[in-house]
Amino acid sequence: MKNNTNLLNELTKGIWKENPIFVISLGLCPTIAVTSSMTNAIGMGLASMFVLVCSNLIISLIRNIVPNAVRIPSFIVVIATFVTILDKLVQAYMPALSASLGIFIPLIVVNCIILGRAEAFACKNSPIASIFDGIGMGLGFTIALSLIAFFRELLGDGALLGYKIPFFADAPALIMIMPPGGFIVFGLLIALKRNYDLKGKFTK
Amino acid sequence: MPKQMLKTALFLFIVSSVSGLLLALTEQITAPAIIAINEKIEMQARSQVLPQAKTFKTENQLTIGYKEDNSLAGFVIAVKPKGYAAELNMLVGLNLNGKITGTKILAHSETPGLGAKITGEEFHNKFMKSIEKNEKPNFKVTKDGGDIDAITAATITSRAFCDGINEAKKIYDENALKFITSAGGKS
Repeated sequence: MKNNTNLLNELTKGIWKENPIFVISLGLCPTIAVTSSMTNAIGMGLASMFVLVCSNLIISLIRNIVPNAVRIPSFIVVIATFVTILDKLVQAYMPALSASLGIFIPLIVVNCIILGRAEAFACKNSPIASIFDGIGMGLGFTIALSLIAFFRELLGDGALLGYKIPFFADAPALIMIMPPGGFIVFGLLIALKRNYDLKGKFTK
Repeated sequence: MPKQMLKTALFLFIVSSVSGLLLALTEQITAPAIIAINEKIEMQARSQVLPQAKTFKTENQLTIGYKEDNSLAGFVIAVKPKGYAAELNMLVGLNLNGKITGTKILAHSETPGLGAKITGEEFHNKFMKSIEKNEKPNFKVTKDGGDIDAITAATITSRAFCDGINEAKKIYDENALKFITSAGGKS
């Protein structure tokens, strides 16, 4: 029973308490790059989740036999392998996604969340817990990306998921889909979340 | 010490070998599907830029489109003008009079939400409309004194698009005209 609540905790912590973007602040480069449209954000989030779950599992399995001196190179090889496999699979079987995400998928290799979770979690925990950690972190990443993209696409392009939204489409604020807009939305969302988390903690 | 080193090297060797094996396997499985999809995309793109043609034959820089009765329909020319981030990989369709029948961006790395709109229907429809009513359009963005409306905040991408059109026209003038006269009797 206790074990089950632990697993559930590994799953949910990535979504709110230890959200990879809003709390741990890892993987911000792809965050700013892909959140100019919701389609890209969701695709990137799910693709990262796939790699995260696979790499967490394998790294957890080899955690007791990997020599410390080559720990990180080994992890990178594992991650890069899964990213390349994913890239090929998407190209072959999901051409529509490949067309819009094509240039971002190889970049998952250098997404710090993947290596971060390998180092901070998977190399110290059991394979099952690591899978749950991967799913949770992947979900948290996807939700955070979609949320940022929601505001950026709506305000900067007057659209959501590529469909024009009346009123917003009349005079979109282009800056929102350019990098500065990414930082602005990202900063405001972090501030909002912190404000919510700290509410009541500093009352006299 | 050397024993430790050997163990480390061996571990890396195993990890890399397994990785290499998996990648080779994936390549084996996906390569035919990727080739087939790219061919399909190219075929679709050709029919899109030159709707009158049913079959295509590639010769040097030109892809020649034929109608159902095997008479000439027009040409599809691939060009790679330099965009904002990298080259735009585009196709231009021209009929026998040298009029543009359609354009298509196959690949690009322009800014999502800005230059990337060059692939959208909105820009393409606007472009086709602006050359439809114009007998001899000047393929430059309005900012440079031409007839083509640029995409807002993506002038460089729009310029690249115009460069591509002009290059395609040049290739057409140099090669296609010759081809039409040599095949003149047939159609």
